[in-house]
Amino acid sequence: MDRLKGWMKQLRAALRPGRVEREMDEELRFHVDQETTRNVALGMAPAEARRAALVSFGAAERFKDELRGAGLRGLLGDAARDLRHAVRTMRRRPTLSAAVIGTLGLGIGVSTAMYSVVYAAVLQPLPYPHGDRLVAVWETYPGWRGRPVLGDFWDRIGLAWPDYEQWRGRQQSFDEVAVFARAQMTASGGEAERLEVGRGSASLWTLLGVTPALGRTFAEVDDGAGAPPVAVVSHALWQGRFGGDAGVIGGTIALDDQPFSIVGVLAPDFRFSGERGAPPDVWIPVGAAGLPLGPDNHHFSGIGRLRAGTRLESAAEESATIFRGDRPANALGAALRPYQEDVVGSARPPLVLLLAGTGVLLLIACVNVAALIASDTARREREVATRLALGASRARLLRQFLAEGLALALAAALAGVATASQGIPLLTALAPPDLPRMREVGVNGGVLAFALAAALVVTLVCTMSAVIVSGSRRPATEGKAPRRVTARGRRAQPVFVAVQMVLLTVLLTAAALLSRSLLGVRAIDPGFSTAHLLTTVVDLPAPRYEARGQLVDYYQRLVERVGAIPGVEAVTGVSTGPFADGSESTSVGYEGLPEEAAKPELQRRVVLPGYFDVTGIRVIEGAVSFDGGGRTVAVSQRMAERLWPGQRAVGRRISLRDQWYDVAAVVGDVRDQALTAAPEGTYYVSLQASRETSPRMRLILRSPLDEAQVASGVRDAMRSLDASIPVEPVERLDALAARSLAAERYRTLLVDVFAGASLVLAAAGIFGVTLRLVLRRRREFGVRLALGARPAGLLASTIGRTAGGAAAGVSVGLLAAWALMPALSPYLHEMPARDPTTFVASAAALVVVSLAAAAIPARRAARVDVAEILRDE
Amino acid sequence: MPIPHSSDVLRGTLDLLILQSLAHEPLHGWSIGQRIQAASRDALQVGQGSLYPALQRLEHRGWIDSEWRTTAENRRARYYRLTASGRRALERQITHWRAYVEAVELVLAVGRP
Repeated sequence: MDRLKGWMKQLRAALRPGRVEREMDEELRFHVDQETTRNVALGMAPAEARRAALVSFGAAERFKDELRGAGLRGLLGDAARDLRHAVRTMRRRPTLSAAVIGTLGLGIGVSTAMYSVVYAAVLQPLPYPHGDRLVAVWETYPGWRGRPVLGDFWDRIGLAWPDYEQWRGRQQSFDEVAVFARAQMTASGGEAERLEVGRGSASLWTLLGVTPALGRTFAEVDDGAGAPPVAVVSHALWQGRFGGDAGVIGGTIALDDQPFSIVGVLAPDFRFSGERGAPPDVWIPVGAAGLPLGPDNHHFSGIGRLRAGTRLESAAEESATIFRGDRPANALGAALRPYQEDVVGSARPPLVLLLAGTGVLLLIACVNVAALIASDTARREREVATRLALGASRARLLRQFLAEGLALALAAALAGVATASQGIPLLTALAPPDLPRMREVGVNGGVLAFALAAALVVTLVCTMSAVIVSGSRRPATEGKAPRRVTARGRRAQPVFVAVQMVLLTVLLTAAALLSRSLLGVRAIDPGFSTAHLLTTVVDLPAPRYEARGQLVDYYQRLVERVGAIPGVEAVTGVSTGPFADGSESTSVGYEGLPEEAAKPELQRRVVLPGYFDVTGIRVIEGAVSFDGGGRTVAVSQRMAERLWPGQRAVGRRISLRDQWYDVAAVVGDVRDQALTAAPEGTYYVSLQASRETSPRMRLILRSPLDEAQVASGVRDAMRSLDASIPVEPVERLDALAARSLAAERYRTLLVDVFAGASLVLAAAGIFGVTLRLVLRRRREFGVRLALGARPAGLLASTIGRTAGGAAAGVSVGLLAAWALMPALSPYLHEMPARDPTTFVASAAALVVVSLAAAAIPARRAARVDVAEILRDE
Repeated sequence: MPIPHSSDVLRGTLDLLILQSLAHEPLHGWSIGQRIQAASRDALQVGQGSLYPALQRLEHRGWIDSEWRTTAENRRARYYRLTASGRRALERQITHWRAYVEAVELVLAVGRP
């Protein structure tokens, strides 16, 4: 019963800490008063009596603590009080607290955002059952190795359908295997729309563990040639084109003029094969609607889930044996890669590099915070000394500083989470389109935890170091504490500057190298003009425009109608346009080619009249005479040099599909695939005048108007000719050029942001640390000035220290950069990774920034008012 | 033989001394200290640093209770009072203490005339 009452008291005390505190004070005051009264009664003078009472009372602080520390209340009450104290301390030093919170917040936020993006793109496990055992399977033609163009693909050749059937029937290494392919088709009936189409074997759905949102996926009966025309639509297409109508099952969708009956709708989060870019809008069976499945149609990507415990190498060996059949051993092989790696591909290394940059930023933030908090150590040590003298226990003080560190870290964590959640959408929005899995990015819990932990450790270690350091010192030496701290701070400042400079030098050099490289790439002349040129793509569905005459006729009339749009000055077209359409190559025979030699692989461009005029590609020799109707071609300079080195090309002949063409002109080289790629040998033939054809053409318009003003005219022109042809957006050609550099720009932008943020952090850090140092040494400066020191001398001595630290740091940083920068080589265009100009410029910039950051507070040292200092004394 | 000057109360016996001094009437903290000192003829001095934490400990254990009252000089002071379970605890502790002292005496008596 009494025990219970005791607990109730503890509980009450925990709930009403203020009252308990007051009562405690009153009780102790009463005690001192009683003692005083007794002392007076014993004959002491009142003042003396009170002093004696206080002395005998002793270290009041300590047992107030002990009283507080008792029971349940001790734990709760202490925590609350410590936190309140911590918040008060933070508010008393708003600049310092804001600097710590801002610095850590930026560090946590940026590194978390960045890591989250990289994680989604590169590291996040695939969202399929046993995704870690999914393997991409390709055929290899060792004979193509090292050959131009083909050599790029020798180990990434698709599977043909018969290969797959063999493979699936005989393999023992996989739980399940499947093939899929991507295509574009035009949906008609209603708004003509260009759709991304996936073709998948029935096994794909079991392999990926797909449960459709509605209806079914494909069954074995849908596999192979002569499959029924069925389709499974994506959730997005269902919502958009079909308005989310559940009655869509059993309905039809017309793809390239053929009706497919819809049997299923996929779940909204199914994004297979859309890891880099858009996932398919529709899936159809591999052999639907007479799509070719012959032994030469190597257009399927293979995928399989390895049996548990099966090694990739043995699976590869088995697959190769099956693919090869009875062909010779070196004719055909198999390449197996983890599917995740296959998807991520070339995106991985630059992202991992960026991650390193992020780490540096977080490190700089932590170093900065450490320095900022350390600069406040004097205050802390004084407080520790005073309170130890008053009898507070060391554990008590540790707890209090722990709370102070916690409060700072918590606030910084909030700032960091806010920065990360704001930053991630920004990062993904700016990401180049081929960065994989950008739609799956979310704040990554793991890294957030890591960054928070780092922040916590830094703040706690720094705030509590005051107590730990003073633990070795007796309270009596309290008076000496400030001087010792000053000496330590003075030594620490250049070290701090040096550490910052090492990290910054590496980061800044990397940023400068990438920026200079990007500037260089932008300045490259692609060999044609993009000014005032607009472009759009027209793709004629194969069945209806199979006849050459119809196709040529369509484009002739389209050029006329588009040319008639007000504001359009000229119209032309090309089968594979600049910057957006990739490569289009064929093998070419030519006069003088030795009988047994392989035909060279060259870029083919089928063009509409006026292509060279509109794009400004130079005609170097001869004259382009497509309009005359003769069988003529124009060849690029590089092709001319390659086929007939040192000889005149005009007048020679090349053969395309056993048809001979006269070379009528040599034209300038162009970089139309990527600005950074060297121009390839290219020939141009006329759509009208040659036997070459291309259902797809990229129209190029010259107009002073902008794309939106021309778009409706283009749409009307296309509608009036054939409403079933999908209308693609009109874009500026220079925008396409810019987009082709998106990856470079993104990389550079991110590194620049890191470098910029780090530079600001470092400058702020140096400024803060130097300022505190100067403020703490004011008295010393005052005395020195009074003794005749020159202000300039004090200024120089303060800055000199920083300069020493900066010089040492930059030197080490340059060495580190020298060692590390070659990792950037793949991303630098025609620039050495150890470019001396860049190194020197970065180093110089850093020294200047650090000196400036130190000079501003150092000027205060020189302006110390002697009289004021002495008055303070 | 007088006990050496101002010896601190033996650890573990403070609770007993406090409970004992409250056995007859409620007292405030200062007079508990005075009572112990006087009863021991100044041999035992209870430091305030031990007294108040001990009082709180005993109160939380339910052996004593406290209330604010007015003193003869008309000042507010916190008075402590023994509870029923405190009284039982006091009896137990006295028994323990006596047994202990007796045991120590026996040990000291060995080998002495």
